[in-house]
Amino acid sequence: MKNSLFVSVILILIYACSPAKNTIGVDPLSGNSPSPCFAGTFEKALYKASLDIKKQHMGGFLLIKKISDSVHRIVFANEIGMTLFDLGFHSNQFKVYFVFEPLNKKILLRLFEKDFRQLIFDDKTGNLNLLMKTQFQSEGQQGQVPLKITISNPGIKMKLDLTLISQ
Amino acid sequence: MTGIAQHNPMQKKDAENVKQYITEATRNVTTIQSEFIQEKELSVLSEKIISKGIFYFKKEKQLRWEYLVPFKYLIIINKDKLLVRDDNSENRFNLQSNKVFREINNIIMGAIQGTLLDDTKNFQSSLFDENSCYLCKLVPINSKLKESLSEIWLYFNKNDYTVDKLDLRESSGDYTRITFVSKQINTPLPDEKFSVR
Repeated sequence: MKNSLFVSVILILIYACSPAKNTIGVDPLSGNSPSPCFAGTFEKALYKASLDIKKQHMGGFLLIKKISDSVHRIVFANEIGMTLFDLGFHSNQFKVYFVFEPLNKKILLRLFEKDFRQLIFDDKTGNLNLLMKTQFQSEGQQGQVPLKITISNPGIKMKLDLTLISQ
Repeated sequence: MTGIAQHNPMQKKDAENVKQYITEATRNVTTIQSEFIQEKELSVLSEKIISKGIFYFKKEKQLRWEYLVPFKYLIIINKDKLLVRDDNSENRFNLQSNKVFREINNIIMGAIQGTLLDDTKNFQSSLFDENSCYLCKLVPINSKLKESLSEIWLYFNKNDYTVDKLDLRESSGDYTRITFVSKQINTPLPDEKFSVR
């Protein structure tokens, strides 16, 4: 009993002393309700982005902008400035304003819709299956937005790393 | 932008002369070293993403694109090889297998070497005489390229006929403007700058 208490205390200390790292929505099917990454008075956030899909690597900027309480826009542009995707998230509607042809895959867009919707609205109502299970991690916080976010989906070998540039 | 759009293209003979000057000037360019400012204009969102860095070019097909702000990022293109390096990783690709960089590389190389103006297979070009520069507007004919870029605008310096800035324009109205500042032409650049190993 003493031992297990000691281990528990150590684990709590380790957890408390590690950098603020939140695993949110580890299993979107679990029904847990973690806080959304973007909340309150959040208006916009510009991230350095690194996207790996299978063997394809793309980097650049990811801008998340709140247009209104129910509408957000997410634009991903590569380092050279070419828009790779421009997506609109309404409370009950998803709009693809632009997607670069190699990324224009139904399964990928569904995944972006589901993952970003969860990130912004904490909405996990997407039509999920086990293949599309996604892991979210956030680290640190500056104002209303996380400093680092990792979204990974081992099922389709997709990983998106975001590091805050400005807000 | 609106002012430029309203201007009429140059007379065919004048345009041919300017093209000739550009071709002559670019033929004599063996290296370019220049700082650059890149502005990505997101018109609908009223946002601008600004990056800065140093650009190196060495004939024939060597390019070093070094971003310093807001984060370090390096692209080296050496003939058909591509090296991409950021804080965490270094990746090498064959240019032929990376559609995005292949297209961008063709545009940048073609702009620097002046060959885009004569690339009638892929672009429809028109030339404008602006106060401070010659503006060449290129409209892609190739449908694949058209999906990403509606027009490419090249601004040629009236004194040395090199590219001062270029706009990569998207059909949405967004564009990326790359402005070259403190350009140094034909200063020796070591091959190591373009090493992809």
